[in-house]
Amino acid sequence: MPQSGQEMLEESIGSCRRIADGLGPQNAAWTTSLVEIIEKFEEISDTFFFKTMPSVPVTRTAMREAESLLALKNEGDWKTFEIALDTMISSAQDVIEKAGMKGTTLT
Amino acid sequence: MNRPVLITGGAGSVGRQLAGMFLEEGKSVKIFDLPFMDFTGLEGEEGVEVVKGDITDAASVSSAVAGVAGVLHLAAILPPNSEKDRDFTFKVNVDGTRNIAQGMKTRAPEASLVFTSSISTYGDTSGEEPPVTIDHQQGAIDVYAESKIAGEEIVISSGVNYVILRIASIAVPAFLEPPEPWPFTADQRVEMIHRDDVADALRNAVDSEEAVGKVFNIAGGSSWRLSGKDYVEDFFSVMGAPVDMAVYRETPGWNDWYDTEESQRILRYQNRSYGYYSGQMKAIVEEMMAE
Repeated sequence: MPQSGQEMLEESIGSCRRIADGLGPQNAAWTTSLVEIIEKFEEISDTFFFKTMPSVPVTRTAMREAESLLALKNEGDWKTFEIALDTMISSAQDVIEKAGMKGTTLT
Repeated sequence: MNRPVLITGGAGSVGRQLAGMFLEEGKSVKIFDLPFMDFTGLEGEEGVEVVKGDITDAASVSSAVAGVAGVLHLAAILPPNSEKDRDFTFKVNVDGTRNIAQGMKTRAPEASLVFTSSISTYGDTSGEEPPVTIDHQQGAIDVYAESKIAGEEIVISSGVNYVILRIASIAVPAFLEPPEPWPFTADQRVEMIHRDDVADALRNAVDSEEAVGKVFNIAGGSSWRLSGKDYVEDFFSVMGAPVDMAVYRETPGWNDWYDTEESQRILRYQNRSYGYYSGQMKAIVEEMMAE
């Protein structure tokens, strides 16, 4: 059975937590961004949107990008990590906007 | 320049839609709404006069109605907010309506006042034989309906040219969170109406001579006559969400099937079937899936 938007959102949150864990020494701003994503995702995770089909594409993208980001952290490829984090922030913004929280800006 | 139509609550979505319809016809509008509302796309536009005020302020209402061709009175406190503070709901929905009617008597005596009432004023009719006709006894089961019944009485006794529209639940073609609970039981009769058909009814009511002095039920028509369960299951199916999430009222609400024969004959607003609405919803979901 394919994963629901809610399940993929929860996986994204899990990946972001693992990325943020111990990232501080590399770059405090990266940690701040990831914590912000985690907090926003948790805030909206119970909304109706994540129980619907339209949530699947955006949460799938966010989940895959979070997984890639985690792999880059584990490899210590910080140059690529920085670029991938920007992409992840943009995808997270998309998830938040689609869930009906327009006006929230991630830094 | 032609005399404008005043739209109270005009900065909201239906008000904007109506403003667009009048402007397309080359007519002018006066948008009356609270100062903190977003007037983007209205302010400064040709044919649009923006009046920032409060309908509970008789002086600003009296000034706004001066010389208008008609008034579409949309401003109101709607459910669920209407249920939180009865005094405030009555101040806006009843006293505000009185201000408009009184202002029109002296400053726009020829104009028609289109009052947006609600089919919720009939209360629970689920145990009766449908359809509900406009002479059905009214019986509020919430503050909103109570305020609309009082508003109707003010409008009728005011002496102004009036048209009262008792509008059914409005279906908006957009991705919106479902209400919890749905305002009806699963087996209750439900007849909603497409948002754009409501706009058509309002538009056509304001300058219809035949409509003056009448009360109309405004609902979607035969294709919209469903059970609560049918409507909700369709909604969840289109959204691809599990229908067991749906929460219905435990006791019947104020939805039913309505007699709209006369309103349709005079106002010609039932232009979008339930099938059309379902198609729009499917297209919205498909577009979101494709992004």
